[in-house]
Amino acid sequence: MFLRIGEQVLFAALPTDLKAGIQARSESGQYADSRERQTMRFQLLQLNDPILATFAEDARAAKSDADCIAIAQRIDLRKVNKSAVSQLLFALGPDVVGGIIVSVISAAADASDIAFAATLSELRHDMLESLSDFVHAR
Amino acid sequence: MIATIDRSNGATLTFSDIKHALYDGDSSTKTDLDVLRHIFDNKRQNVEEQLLSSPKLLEKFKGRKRVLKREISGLLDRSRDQIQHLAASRDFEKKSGKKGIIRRFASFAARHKVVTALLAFAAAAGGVAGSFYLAGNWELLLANVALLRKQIAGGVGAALPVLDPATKALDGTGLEGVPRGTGITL
Repeated sequence: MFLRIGEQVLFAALPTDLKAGIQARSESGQYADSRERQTMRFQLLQLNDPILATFAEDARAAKSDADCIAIAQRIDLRKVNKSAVSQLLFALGPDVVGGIIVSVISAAADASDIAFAATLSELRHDMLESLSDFVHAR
Repeated sequence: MIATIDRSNGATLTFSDIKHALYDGDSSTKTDLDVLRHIFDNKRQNVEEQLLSSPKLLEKFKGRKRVLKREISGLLDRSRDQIQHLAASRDFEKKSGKKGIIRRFASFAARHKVVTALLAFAAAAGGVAGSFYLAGNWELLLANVALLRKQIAGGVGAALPVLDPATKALDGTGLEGVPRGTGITL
């Protein structure tokens, strides 16, 4: 599990049984994100997924905020095109994924939550590696 | 304080201008990808010189070489950024797909519905099914996001301003001519 310093502190504070068998390593990958870069990543998305397209249509027709969120939460990401999920995570960026990691660790109730945090940290690690390999300073 | 005057008279350099300047009469047979390859296969200085000596571009900028140079520099910087991010995105997709991390993420997200909702709203923000875009529905979306934010603990909520009405939709041909979603090998 690759964690940034603040995340390591949260992880260390978890009950011992939740941390069992998980080795927390330091995430050293760097990427200077910005509003402009995030917007650009969103503009480069190419999503062709019928489930997400249906959601977008349903969201337009939703009668209330709560309805819209309920529709979103009914989506089963396992059925969504893997490329679309990968592109969306990339567009959100490593800092957002970091935010989710913090959320998941903070509210962790069982080993499955920690396994989710570990998966997210692995995702972010790969994302940072790809960004470091391809995005160079001018 | 020195006042600066914008002498461009509103002229803006577009990706299409670059294509015509580089290929002239041959431009109709060239794709955006050809242009990008040309930009990245050649030294930047050479590309800039080639563009600066284009009579058509000079005419568009009424002979103001300095303004044209600034425009060229900005557009080449943006194109480079876009290409690099596209390449990084493809690399990430390949890497994470091979390891099965996306599949694992999707399975866990089934239990974490707020994360599912975040991705769904991101999809709506980015546009799905090619050119689909919630152009007239941003207010509804933002209201949803505000409510969603309340449900999210920790730092995830802070990331949501990305769902901003200022994020412009693309016309389907890609940002300033960068092809959307095509595999690009640098």
